[in-house]
Amino acid sequence: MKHTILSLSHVSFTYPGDLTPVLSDISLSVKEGEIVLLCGASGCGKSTLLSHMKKNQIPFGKGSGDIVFDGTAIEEMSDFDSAREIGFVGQDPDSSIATDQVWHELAFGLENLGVPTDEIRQRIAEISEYCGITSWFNKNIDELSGGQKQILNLASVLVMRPRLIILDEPTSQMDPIGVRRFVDLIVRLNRELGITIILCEQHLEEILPIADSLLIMDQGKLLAYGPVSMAHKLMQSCRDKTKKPLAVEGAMPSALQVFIGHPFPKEASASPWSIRMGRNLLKTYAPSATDMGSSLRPVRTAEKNADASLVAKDLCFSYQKDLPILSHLSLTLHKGECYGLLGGNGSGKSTALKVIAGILKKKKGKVLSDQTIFYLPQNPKDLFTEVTVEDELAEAFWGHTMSDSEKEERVFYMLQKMELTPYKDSNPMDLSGGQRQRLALGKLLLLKPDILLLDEPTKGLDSLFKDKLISLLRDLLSKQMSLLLVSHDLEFAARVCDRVGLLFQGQITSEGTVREFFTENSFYTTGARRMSQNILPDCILPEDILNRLSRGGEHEII
Amino acid sequence: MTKRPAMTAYHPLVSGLHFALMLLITMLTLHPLLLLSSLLFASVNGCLYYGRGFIKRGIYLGLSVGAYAVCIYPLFNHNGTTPLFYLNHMAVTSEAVTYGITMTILLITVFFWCEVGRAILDSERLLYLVGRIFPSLALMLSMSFRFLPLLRQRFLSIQAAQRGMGRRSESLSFFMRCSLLVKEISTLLSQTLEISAASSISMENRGYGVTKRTTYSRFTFRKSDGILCLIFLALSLPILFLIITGGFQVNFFPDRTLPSLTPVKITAWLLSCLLALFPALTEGIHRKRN
Repeated sequence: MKHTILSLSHVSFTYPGDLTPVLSDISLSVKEGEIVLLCGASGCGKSTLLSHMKKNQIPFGKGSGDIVFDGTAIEEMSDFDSAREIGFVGQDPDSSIATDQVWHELAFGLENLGVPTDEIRQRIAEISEYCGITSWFNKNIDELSGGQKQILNLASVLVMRPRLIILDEPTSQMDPIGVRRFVDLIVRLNRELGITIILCEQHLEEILPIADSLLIMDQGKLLAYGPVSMAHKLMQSCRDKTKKPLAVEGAMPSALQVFIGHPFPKEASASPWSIRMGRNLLKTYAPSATDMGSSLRPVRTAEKNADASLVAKDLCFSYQKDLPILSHLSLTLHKGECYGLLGGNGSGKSTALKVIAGILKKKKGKVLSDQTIFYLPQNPKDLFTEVTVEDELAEAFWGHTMSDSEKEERVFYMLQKMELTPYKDSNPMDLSGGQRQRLALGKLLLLKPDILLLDEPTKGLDSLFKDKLISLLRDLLSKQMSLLLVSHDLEFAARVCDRVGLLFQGQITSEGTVREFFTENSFYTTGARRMSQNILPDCILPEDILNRLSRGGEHEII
Repeated sequence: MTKRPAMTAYHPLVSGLHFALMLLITMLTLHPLLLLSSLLFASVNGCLYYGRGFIKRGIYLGLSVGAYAVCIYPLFNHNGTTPLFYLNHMAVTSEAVTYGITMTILLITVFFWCEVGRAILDSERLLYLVGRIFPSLALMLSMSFRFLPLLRQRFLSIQAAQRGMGRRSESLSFFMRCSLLVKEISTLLSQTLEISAASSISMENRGYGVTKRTTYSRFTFRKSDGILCLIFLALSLPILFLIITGGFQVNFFPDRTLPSLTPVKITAWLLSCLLALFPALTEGIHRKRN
């Protein structure tokens, strides 16, 4: 029997001034050496629950229940022990870093604990080697990438040798490569050092495979808690409780989504959560390769002969001489089309958007368009200047002459359209990630642009908000607006785009309709495609696989 | 600057002491021999660190300060006994001109030493020296060095967002432009508050304020560092003693007087030259080895 390191019994919590509790009657226990994954829609109380696990982060409000860390109640731990034994890393890599140098950040916690300098020297050397920081140990913080910053945040907690590490959506602001590095580090900490890890995350494709237990929360309640291998059963029991599909389902790995969505003989096997397990599943149960017409979910293709609404020709841009970011980038955006610009970190995707929007000045080339082009920044907060949501929307008309009644009417309409009416008096900074994104989008839409450029629109959004965003964008497309978006999120691009292009070394190296693009690539493609490659043709999303399965294999499976 | 100066191999206290001694020797006296030799060695050190452009900057500074100290200052100071010419019945004296020239040289020399010091004492070393005296000030500075670039980057992306809404400051009236700037700054302020709140939580999470802090530095004070400090003191104390006791006292008004040079003074001066040349010597040895 493993030692219990953290246990919560009947924990409830209500923020001051609120009537409904954020957490209600939560009991769970975490065994030493486990990785526990906490998931749920945003606003379900995940972060509040995590902050109860560290003494200095327990929020003000009305709470009850007991939280015990290794035999001591959390509130009764000394500040010293709490700082040393429980590490906490938040979601924004930038604001968690306190000092200006990598080495100083690593030393910071130990300095606080009054550790002698010789010991600090030895400990940060050790941690720097272990976490692979040594090659950038001498750098200033502002020279680091987002992924490096988050690894530094984790390392600066690790150096204090905690027994429990709590991670609150640590990878939500990172690109896929950064996510993979970070996840690898977490796995090593757990497998090699036995550190207990509790984390919550929105996108589960990478995280679920490494976790031991899964916690599912909804509206402040703990719906299910159990081993990851039983994920499908846990989710089924949640569905039975809430009588509705769960927000987390869309965020699950493709293999699990397919497994849950199709009536496989489930009692027999554990949940598949990795691509490999998913492939095995498909190989066993996929219909024979005969009778596979191509009547899959049709992908919207903008009419080929539709007028181009924007043509970019031979765009060149560089921040420094001899370091071109864009070199002869050309692309055409048709009316009513959504074009997705994909590419790795530092490939110049965001720069391309800014150059096309005219925010950055191109060095060479042309952007031909007689339509208004607006740009939605990666961080929606950058657009907010007012203290209430309603004022924020009205601020869009700054510099426009318009009667007050017309303004009010349009703002009212936009509040409804973006489902923000209940929040019209809240401060934009207090909104959740998805609501903020919708507010920023709504603000731009009030000005009726013809072309909208979106920079990483799904960053930090949960799958429920993503679905809402997708339907909003589809609606815009049907009104002949053209969208050009940049994203790391391949599943999102596969759902919403008509055409996609891969930006590599400053130019577009391959381009095609979504289905062509994702089926022709075998590495840089969606999880569903990697899972169904050579087994089922033309599937780029879990829905495609499910369609194929239900049409082709009825007689074999049910 | 081309490479890291060889002096950075020593503990910051060593370079800090060297810098302080050179400033003292330069600033406490107006004796031409001491001043010119100090200027010469400061330029040699500076050229090694920054290349020849270093002298050019010194000349520009010299010309601009010199224009005042040599041409204008004598018009207002009429002390001295050797009139060069009369302006409005007031004597412009050769003593005042000499004094102006000396002051200009002193200023350039101090500027050069500061530049040399800046090359050796980068922000981390400077911060360490400050932190020896005021630990919390050093942490505050380190946090500001982190914060300022972050704010700059946030401000750029806020501006990009406003431009992305079609608000181009080129096409706005002056009044509208100011109002846009106010908007951008208010956005920056609210983001700043958010960042500070999050970093204070993150600092608390890592035990800030739990016990008395240690101040970690990456530098170790070795025996050789201690020996160097002693050598520096030995090289500088004789001349400092002589300067303070008036051995190198120079007068400009009413008459220019130079103290006579005795063998003792010359020896002390030679020792101080060795001290001034120390960075250049270590640099030379270091470059030869590599």
